[in-house]
Amino acid sequence: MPNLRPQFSVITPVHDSEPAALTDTIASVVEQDLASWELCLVDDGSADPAVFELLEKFAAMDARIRIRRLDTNVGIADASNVALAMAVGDYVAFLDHDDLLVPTALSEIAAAIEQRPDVDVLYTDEDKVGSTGEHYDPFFKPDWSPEYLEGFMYLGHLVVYRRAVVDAVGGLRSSTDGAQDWDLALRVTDTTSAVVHVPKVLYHWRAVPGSTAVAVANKPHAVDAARRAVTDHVARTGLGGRCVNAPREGWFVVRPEVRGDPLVSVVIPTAGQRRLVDGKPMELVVNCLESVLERTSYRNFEIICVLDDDTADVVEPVLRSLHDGRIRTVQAPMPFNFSRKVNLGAVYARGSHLLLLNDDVEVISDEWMTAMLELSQREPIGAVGAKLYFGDGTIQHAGVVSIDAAPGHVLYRALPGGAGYFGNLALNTNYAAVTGACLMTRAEVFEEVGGLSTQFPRNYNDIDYCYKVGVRGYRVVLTPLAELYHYESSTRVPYPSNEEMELFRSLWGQRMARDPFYNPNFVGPARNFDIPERW
Amino acid sequence: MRRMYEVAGHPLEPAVLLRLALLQARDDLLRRDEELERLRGTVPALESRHATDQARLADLEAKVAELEATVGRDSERRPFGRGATWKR
Repeated sequence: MPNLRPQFSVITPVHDSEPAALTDTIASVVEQDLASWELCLVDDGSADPAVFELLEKFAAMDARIRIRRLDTNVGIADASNVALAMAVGDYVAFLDHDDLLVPTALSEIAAAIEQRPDVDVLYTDEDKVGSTGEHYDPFFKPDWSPEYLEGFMYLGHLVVYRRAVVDAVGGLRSSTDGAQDWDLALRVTDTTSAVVHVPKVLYHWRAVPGSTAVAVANKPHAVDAARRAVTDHVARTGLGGRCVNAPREGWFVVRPEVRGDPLVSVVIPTAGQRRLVDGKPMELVVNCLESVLERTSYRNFEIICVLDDDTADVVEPVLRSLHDGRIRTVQAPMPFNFSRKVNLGAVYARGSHLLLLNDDVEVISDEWMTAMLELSQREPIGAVGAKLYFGDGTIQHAGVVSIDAAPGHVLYRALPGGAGYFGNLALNTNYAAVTGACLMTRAEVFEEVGGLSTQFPRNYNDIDYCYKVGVRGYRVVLTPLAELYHYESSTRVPYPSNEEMELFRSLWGQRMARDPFYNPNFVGPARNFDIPERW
Repeated sequence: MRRMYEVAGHPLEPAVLLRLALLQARDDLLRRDEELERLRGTVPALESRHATDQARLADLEAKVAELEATVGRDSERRPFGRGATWKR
């Protein structure tokens, strides 16, 4: 006896839809290359009776199309809940009344479920389709990124949920109409992390005047609803905190409260080098320390400078001249090994959070340490990175991604000021790795993974550290609120040694063949989120 | 008079060396875990090395605990700060 229950229920609330667009939407479901679906259409009190008449015509043509009409307009969340109540599929897929599914959308989702039967949430890449049918603005998304989702509804479309997890959270909430999809995503993923990304454009979001596909500002109520959804999510985490506006309307940066007054141990390995910056000689570690001491609004920190045996005699008097009791020093025996120096500093640290800092950085934003601490204290997060700039203001670091297991900085040398690719320069963003030039990590995590690996005396030790943190189940996040200058490579060999590169690849080549936070559709050797000509 | 910075301690003190060795052991163990994950069931010798590493780690952890008990609780007199909270 065949199983007659459909695998997928496509949920589509309809309200005063443009007939041609609605026809295309329904046709895009009918044309799926997988048969096991039903389409649950709810006319949410459309003023024009022709809308429901159109639905009736389609329902008469295909028994999998199920329809219902509501006499009054109840809003998108409640209309979706009515459709959910009609649905009998194991998975529910949300489709807006003027958007389009790619013919293979549901079969691709079915294949992903077959690969990972325990999955609760699936999402795909998407693009926009204009009034003349042109496709543009593809969004090639990262894999599951919980902190990114707090700032921006990046799951967007297509999102498919296991029916049971939607039921378990009570469906959609009308109090968040306009951002009901974001609210649902947050409430569901508060309860499950079984989330899978299918990195293919399987959904076309129709951009018509007045839609949020064109601009969030078209629906100001959606911004208020979004803030409500994220604020409620923050409350559910039990950490407390606030949701502050990001540069674009409808985007936010979640700032959890700092619990207590934890001691942060800043570990700075230094050889006491000088260099010319903007034509002026700079004593790097002094410049770094002065900026930390003068510009850091968070007060409870200590600094451990790790000196080389062979230069300590020169550097110590310089540090002594700063007259600050928060600074301690320790001498690292030769031969030089950067990782060992950092580990040594960590051994002497008293704080519950370690902040690894290169001596060639300079603090810009007062709240840098607070912003990093806010994220570092969250249990699932194992490492927090910062946004770093060259002296000329271009981006030095805003996250690290790997292409074929070769790591590199995203948007390297990009001009500052923009929001990046879909907000990744403006929002808390998940990465597999961040630079160790400025990296906060809980001391307990540092100990758990064995600190920086001394197998990497100069390069890759920070990336390797983040990957180790990742395999232990912690997340790595970059906060845009921690901003520093990084006068890069003034204190080390600028090019990685072949030995270190080969070792790195032998350790991580298999696992990091595809970086989960850099979509495989991006093209080119630069890590600039360059999109292909066709997709 | 304002306190100057202090020299934290000597890096070759046994307690410091032990802690560094503990980090090294945990790093080694994580690598072995990763290796095991890749080769699970195919290399029996690797599983035996893994067991040896775990025993080495337990030994180091016991030594650190013993050391912490003898050094005392006064952070001023201790070569490192967090003492008992070091261990997971």
